[in-house]
Formats: sequence, structure tokens, C-alpha cells
Amino acid sequence: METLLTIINAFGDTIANLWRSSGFANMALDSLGMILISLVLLYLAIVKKFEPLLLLPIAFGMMLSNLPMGGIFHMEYFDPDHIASLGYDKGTLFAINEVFSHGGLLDYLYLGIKLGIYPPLIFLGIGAMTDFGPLIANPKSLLLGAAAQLGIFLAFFLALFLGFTPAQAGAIGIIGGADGPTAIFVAKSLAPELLGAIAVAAYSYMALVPVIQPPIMRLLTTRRERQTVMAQLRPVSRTERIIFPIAVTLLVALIIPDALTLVGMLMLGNLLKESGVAERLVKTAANELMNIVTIFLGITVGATATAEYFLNTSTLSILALGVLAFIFGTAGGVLIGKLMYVLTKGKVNPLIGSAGVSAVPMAARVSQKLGQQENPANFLLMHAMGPNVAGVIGSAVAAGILLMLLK
Amino acid sequence: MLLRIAASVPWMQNYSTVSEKFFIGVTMTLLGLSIVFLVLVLISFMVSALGRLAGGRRKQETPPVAEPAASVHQPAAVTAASSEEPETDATLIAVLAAAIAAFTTESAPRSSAGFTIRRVRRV
Repeated sequence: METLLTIINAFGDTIANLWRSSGFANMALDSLGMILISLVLLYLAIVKKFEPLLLLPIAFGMMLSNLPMGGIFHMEYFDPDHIASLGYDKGTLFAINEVFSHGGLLDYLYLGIKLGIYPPLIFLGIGAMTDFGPLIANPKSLLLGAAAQLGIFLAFFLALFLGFTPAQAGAIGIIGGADGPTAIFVAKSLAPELLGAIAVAAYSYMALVPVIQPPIMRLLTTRRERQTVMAQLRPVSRTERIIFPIAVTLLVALIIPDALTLVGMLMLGNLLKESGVAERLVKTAANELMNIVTIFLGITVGATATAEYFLNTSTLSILALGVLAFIFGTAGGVLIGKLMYVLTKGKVNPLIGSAGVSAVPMAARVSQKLGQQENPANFLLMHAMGPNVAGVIGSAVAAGILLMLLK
Repeated sequence: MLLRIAASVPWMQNYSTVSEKFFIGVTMTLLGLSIVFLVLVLISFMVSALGRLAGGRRKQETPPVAEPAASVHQPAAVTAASSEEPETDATLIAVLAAAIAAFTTESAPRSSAGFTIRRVRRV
């Protein structure tokens, strides 16, 4: 009889222990809130097709890191304050011993972000897929790519007034570059604690470009300007295409060394493509490598959005500042487009200016769509691709400036 | 070098008062935007020079390609369609096929793109 009681007690204890170590007993309310947010993002990715290739892994990573007791990710190992409290030197990138002795899968994968490996590899793939031909044929489109970076700096300005430090403000401002990898690359250096919110804002707004941009483009242009038909672009020689990535790398790296990593990898990818002698590498860079890195990047960026770091008022401020950055960037591009319309006596359609915020090729498609609405014979896509790819270079340069001044 | 100097000046150490924030914000915006413009304008000059050197030579080699491009006042697609013997232009047909495929799959995703372009006629 006594033995039976002991067995029952042991059984009861085990069940109780099992319950105590289960996720149900340890679920905090805020973690539950984050899981609900991740489900909403999953819905947006799967049903609404908001940048699904990134948003889906981001949302799932968010869900995984908020599930209690799993130990798949420890954001605190990467938090500068926590690292300092563990006795590491100031400036140590992560709690080295803790990551390697107690780390979970995503802690290891997150090193690819922390050490700045993933975003440049994505840039390599983007370079291998990008045709700089429209930009080479019309170098003036670089001005539009520069003007659209206005959003970055105006958002920086506003973020300062909302109480963020200059470094945090810089990381928030870069959302206006409309370029996910660049935003992650800057945020992981300047404000790692805000990385989750910044990445979610950057990728969501990129998906919303067709919603955010058209009203601003209509507001700032006249019907006559929007109807402008642009002359066909000149053909671009292979020599030009090959020299371009080499020359841009040399020029940008010498002026802004901090932009070297992103611009260098972008241009390497492009040179692989344009040289025509490294087809296997181009395929790998643009497909397999890019896809692998995208999965790692998405899931780990999502994982940084744990309740402690995501559920606060600064996330709301970041989301608001992000959309303002997109709006200002679009306006900057369109306004310089208008100036070019006046200076060229009506040869440039100001609608291509909005494509200067990167978001390739979505922003260029928006220009094409609006142009065609006003004039069915208007084909702006190739003209808008110039500022669009210029925007990628522009935001990488702006990122270099922010890193140089604020790091 | 300019940036190194700017980075070494401690103008971002204090950011508590409104005037300090305003100063940092304005300086950063002006500095950042002007450097972005400077770099992209330099790239633009470089690309123009490149076009004159490498692109110019190509123009001389193939005047028939360059000429219609310079005198065209119509958009690209219309120009292509109005060129002589569009029926034999494989690229044009490929472009049209892709456009039709994209359009049909967008409006009715489940329908198969089982069509053949037999003839292209200018309207």
C-alpha cells in the first residue's frame, strides 16, 4: 500500500514538475501579446503577400523567440547594458561566453547579423540581379536617387525630438532608405536594441510602397507633368557596364570608407553578372546564397523582437517615424524630379523621382503605373529603374555617413 | 577626410536641450544630404565621362541602332511595334508573350498560359 502511495506521489510530482517547466506555466502576458503580433505578421505575409520572403521568416522568428523556456534565443546576450553588467569590456559585441555555453540556435545564427555578415551577402545577390543599364544611360537619375534620401535625415531630425539618442535616431532614419539589408546593417551597429522594430517597419513599409507613394506623387505634380513622355534611353555598351561597378566601388570607398562593405559587395555582384565570365557564381549569389542568407536574416531579425525589447512606446514611435521617412523620401525625389522637368523644359517626368527611394523594383513600378494612368502611351518603367537603382547606392552611401558620424 | 573631421568634433555629445537637438538635427541633415549629393553627382560625372569614352565608340560602330533612338518621340513599346517587319522580331514576340502571360495570370491566376503568338500586327 505504501509503495503504491509513493508511486502515486512520485507520479504527481513529475506531472507538477512537467507543468512547471512547460511553456503554459511560464507564459507571460507580454510574450503572449508578441505571439499574437507574430500571428498577425504571418497573416500579412501569407494572405496579403507583404514581402512574404522576408516577413514570413521574420514573423516566425518572432514567434519562436517569444515562446517561453525554449531557450532558442537570448536577446540579453546582445544587449550592451546587459553585456556590461556581466563584466565584459565596453564595446564587446556580445556576451561571448554565455552565447557559446548557453546559446540556442538563433543565438548562433544571429552572429551573422551582429558581425555584419548577412546584409552585405544579400547586397552581393542584389548586385548580381541588378541592371545598372538605365542608370548608365541616364546618369542624371543619380540626382533623384540622392534626393530621395531626404527622408532618412528628416526622420533622424524628428527622432531626436522624440527623445531618441543620436545613434538611435540614425538607425530609425535609415528606414527611409527603403532598403531592408541597409537598415539592418546600420541598426545592428547603432541601436541593436531597436533592430526588431526597425526591420519590421522597413519591410512592412517597403511592401506598402504602392499605397504610401501615389498620394504624395499626385499631390506634388500637375497632370501635365505626369503625362510627360520621356525619350527612349540610349543603348549601353558592355564596356560601360563592366567599368561601372569597378569605378563606383573605388570612388565611393575612397570618399566614404564606411560605405565600402555594402557598396563593395553590391558592385562585386554586379561585376560578376556583367563580366559574363562567372555565370555559376552569379547563379549562386543571386539564388542559393541569397535565399539561404534571407532565411537566416529573417528568422534572427524577427527573434530580436522579444516582448521586453519590442512592446514599448518607442516601437510605436519607430513605426510612425518610418512612414514619415518614406513620405519625405518620396517627396524629395519627386521635387527634384519637378526641378529637372523645369530645367529640361519638360523632358523629364517628375514621377520617376519617387523611385529614388530604393524598394527595387516596387517603387519603379509605382512610377510606371501612375504615368500610364495619366497617359496610356507612357512607359516610365525603364526610366524609373535608373533612380531606383541609384537609390540603392544612395542609401548605402547615407548608411556609411550615419555609421561614420554616429558609431 | 571631411567626415573624419566632422566625426571627431564632439558636436553630438550633448543632446538634451531643444536647441542642442535642433543644432544636431540641422547639421546632420545638411551634412548628410550634401555628402550623399556630392558622392552621387561625382558618380554621375564619372558615368557621363564613361559614356563619352566607352559609349561613344559604340555609337560610331553601330549607327543604325543609335540613330532611331535619338530621333524617337514615341515611347519604347510603340516604337518597337512600328519597326519594320515586327513579325520576325523574336525579342518583340518574347516581350509580348511575357506581357500577355503576366496579364492573364494576374487576372486569372488559375488559368494556364497556354497560348501561342501567331501573328503580330500593328494597329
